[in-house]
Parts: sequence; structure tokens; C-alpha cells
Amino acid sequence: MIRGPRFAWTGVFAALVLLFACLVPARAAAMGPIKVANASDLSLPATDTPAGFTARPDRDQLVSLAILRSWFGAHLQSALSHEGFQVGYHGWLDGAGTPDLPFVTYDMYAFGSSRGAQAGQTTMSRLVQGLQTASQDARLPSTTTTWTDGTETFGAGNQPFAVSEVVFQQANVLVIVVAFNQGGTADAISEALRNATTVAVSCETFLKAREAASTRHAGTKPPA
Amino acid sequence: MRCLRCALDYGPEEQFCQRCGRALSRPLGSKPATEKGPSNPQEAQFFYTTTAPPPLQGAAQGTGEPVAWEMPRASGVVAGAPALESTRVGQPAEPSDAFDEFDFPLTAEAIPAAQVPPYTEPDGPPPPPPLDLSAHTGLKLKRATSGLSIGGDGRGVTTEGPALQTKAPVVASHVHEDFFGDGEEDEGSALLPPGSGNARSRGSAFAMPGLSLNSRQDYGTAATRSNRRALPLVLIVLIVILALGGYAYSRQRAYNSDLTNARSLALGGPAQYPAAIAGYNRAIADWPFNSGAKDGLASVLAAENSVKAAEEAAAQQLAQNDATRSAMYDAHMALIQQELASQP
Repeated sequence: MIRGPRFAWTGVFAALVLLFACLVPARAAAMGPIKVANASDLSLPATDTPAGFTARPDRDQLVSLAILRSWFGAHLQSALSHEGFQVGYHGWLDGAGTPDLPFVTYDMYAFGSSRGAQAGQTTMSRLVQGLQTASQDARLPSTTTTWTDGTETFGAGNQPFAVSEVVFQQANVLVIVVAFNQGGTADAISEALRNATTVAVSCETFLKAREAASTRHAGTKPPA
Repeated sequence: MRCLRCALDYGPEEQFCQRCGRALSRPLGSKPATEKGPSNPQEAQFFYTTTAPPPLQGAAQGTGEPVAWEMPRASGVVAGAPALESTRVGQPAEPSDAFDEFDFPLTAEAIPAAQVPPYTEPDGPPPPPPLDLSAHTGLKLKRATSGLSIGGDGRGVTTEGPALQTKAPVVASHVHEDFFGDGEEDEGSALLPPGSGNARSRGSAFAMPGLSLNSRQDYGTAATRSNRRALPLVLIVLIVILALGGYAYSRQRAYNSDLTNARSLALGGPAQYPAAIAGYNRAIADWPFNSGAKDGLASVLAAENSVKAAEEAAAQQLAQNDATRSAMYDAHMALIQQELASQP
């Protein structure tokens, strides 16, 4: 008499767990991949450009496999192609006109699937210089990785500049945000990290909106 | 008798001034010392005819013998031209305008040659041969047909016929002179009819149609004519003044309008500076007294230059910033590529 109700409660709990396990993949499948017809679909629109930044369309660039080859070499190009790379977009945002000359670049690469984007994130993470940090904005996906580096230099005088890089994946799109700040001080690094996070959040918001729009279109059946 | 020019008195018998050779004037109310009868037509025929005086015989050779007139030949030479006889070579020439207005009544009746008796030169030395200085100077008087020529230096006048010399004392005063010293030439004739009054009114006795000899009438007529001419001129001047005033008023109003507009545009900021400059330039073109517009234009140009300089500096700074950012990005990409190259 006593063991009967105990087994009953255990059975109900197990049934609920199975039901949840079945529902979660169904929800994920309902979101679907972000549809990217061409590279310009990955351009951050002006409405999603964060405050304090100015788009530089003259420095934007459509990314193809050929471009990737010229940037990262044939090996990385073949790897990304194998992972289902379709198209990409390279954007440039100028920061405030402060003496440290902050600016941010973002790259959005569309893959054939989320798994391909995840593999691409792993591939691109190998190229990142600097130290990986634990600080992460709550609005970014849990798979986001962040790096900072204050040792890079430029110019004939080897002037230092700070770099902060944020890499995350949203659905089938891989996002790489790199923030630059002149100067190698801790303030410059913090400023670069802040700028990179800000732009990454904007990109994530933009991609979520694109993802939702793609899901709605996928659920709508064309008229007979 | 009195010479009005030299202010010398002479006896009643004298007819010409011994100093200047001009005809003497009778005092007012006096009668001529000798009443002249009717002129001998043979003596005066050359004064009233258009027939040219006959050339003197033997005068050119300087024989000194009495000369006789030949038959006058029809020509355009005025018979009364001896007015210039009083002038000699070496003496200052009288105003040449005198030859344009001879007062002699010119008749078209030519005296028949048969009625002209031979002229006998009066006692005395033969007249000198006529001199034609035109051959040396190349200058002629206005009326060449009068047979007169004058030296280029104006020192002497000669006539072509000696008859003019012989009759010169009678007609010497025909030369227009300032007889009264009032700056006006006397147009009267020395051929005074008996009791013709003073020299100023003598001209009326020889008045001819188209030749006004009365100076006072001329003065009045000229004054009236001058007044008649002056009225339209005054009206024209007034109209011109009014037109210019109206034009100036309109231009001044346009200047004020353009200046006000340009000033308001200049206050509108750098974007309005080109329009303000154009307005100031229009205002400057509108009115010559445009110091205000010029000052405004200078201030706007200075402001525009400063704005342009600031823009250029900003552009240069922006370009420098772009170059710096590009250098940072290139350095970052170069580092990645270097890392890729180092990987196996």
C-alpha cells in the first residue's frame, strides 16, 4: 500500500521529463535557419546600429569564399566551405571622435545549418589573438566567447592599440565582432571590450529578428 | 573828322586816318565838308558790278607809266574787293572773316566794255606789283574767287588787281574790324551815303535780303533766337535730370533691398553664405555708394573663409583618423595572417 503511491509519483515525474524532452527539440526546429538570399541581408541596418557608432558603407564588403581565401588562406577557406559557408558580410562602424579612435568591425557568415555555423565558430576561434575573458553580456548567447588583446601595434612607430573580439553563433549565422581602440592601456582594452559587446548585442538582436521573420515565412503555406 | 580807332581828330577835309589809314567818322550832326555829286559811273562802276577789274597795263613791268584798265572780263571776282588794299605785305592781316561778308551790293549787270573808259593812274608812284604769298605758303583765303590771297603767316594780303588798290581808300573800312572796341566787328560799309549817321548804323543803308547789317537787330534777333534755343535745351536738361534722378532712385531702392536681403542671409549661418555673397554683389552693382555692401561682403567672405578653413581642418583630421584606423585594422589582419602562416 505504501509503495504504490511512491511509484505513481515517480512515474508522473518521468512522464513530464519525457514530455519536456520531446517539446524542446520541436521548439528549436520551429525557429529554423535564418534565410539569407544574398550577402547584403547580413548588413546591420541603420535602425540596429548602436548609438555612438557611424556606419561606413564605403568600408563595407561582401564576403565570399574568394575573399576568405585572400584573407585567411586556402586552408581556412576550404574548411569553411566544407562547413557549409554560403555568404558573408563585413561591416565597419566608426566610434566616437575621441582621440583613441574607436571603431568596430563585424563579420556575419551564413552557413547552411546551425551545426555548420557552430563548426565555423570553432574554426575561427583558432585565429583569435589575446586572452579569453569570462565577462559576457547576458543578452548574448551562452556560446559566446570573448577575447581581449592590448599588445598589438601598428604604424612605423609601433603604436599600441587594444583589440576586443566577440564570437558567437545565432542559428546558422556566425558572428565575429572586433573592436579597436588606439592605445594599449587597460582603459583602452575595457573600452574596446565594451564597444565589441555593444555591437555584438546589436548584431544578435538583428539576427533574432531575422530568425523570427524566417520562421513566420516558413510556417506560411503558399496559396494553392 | 575823327578816327574812332586812333581817337585822333582831323580836319573836315581829311577822310582817312593818317595813322591807321582807316576812314574817319564825322561827328554827329555834321555834314560832309564837300558834298559829293553823283558818282561818276565810270569811277564807281567797279564797285557795283561783278565784273572783274581789268588788269593794269604795265604795272607788272614796273614801268611807272600810267596804266589803263582793260575791258573787264566776266568772272566771279568781286569788284569791291579793294577793301584789302590797305593791307600790305608785312602788316598784320585783318580777320579773314571779313571777306565772307562784303557789303557791296552785287549787281548782275555787267558794264559794257565800251562804256569803260581807260583808267589813268593818278599822280604818284606806281603801285607795287601784286604779291601772291600763296605761292610761298600754299594757303588761300576762304573765298578764292575773290582773287585774294593771304600769306600763311597772316602778315600780308594782296589782291590780284591794281584797281583794288586805287579804290582802296574808299572801301578800306569794309574790312571787319572792332571799330568800337566792344569786341564786335563792325559790319558797316565805308561807302557812306550822305548823312547816313555814325558808323554803327551805316550798315542799314546797305541792307540786303539775307545780309543783316544792323548789329543791334542782330543782337536782338540772336538773343531771341538764343532764348528760343535755350527753352528746349532747358527742357531736355530737365527731362534728363528727372530721368537720371528716377533711375538713381530706383537703383538706390534696389541697393537697399539687396543689402537688407543679403544681411538677413548672412545671419542665417554658413549654409546661407553663398546666397548672402551673391546678394551683396548685386547690391554693389546696384549703387555706386555701396560701402555698406562692401563691408558686409567682406565680413561674410571672412566668415566663409573661416568656415572653409574649419571644414578643411576637419576633413584633414577625418582623413588622418581614417588612416589611423585603417592602419590598426591592417595590423590586426596582418597578425592573423601571420598566425595562419605559422600554423602547420
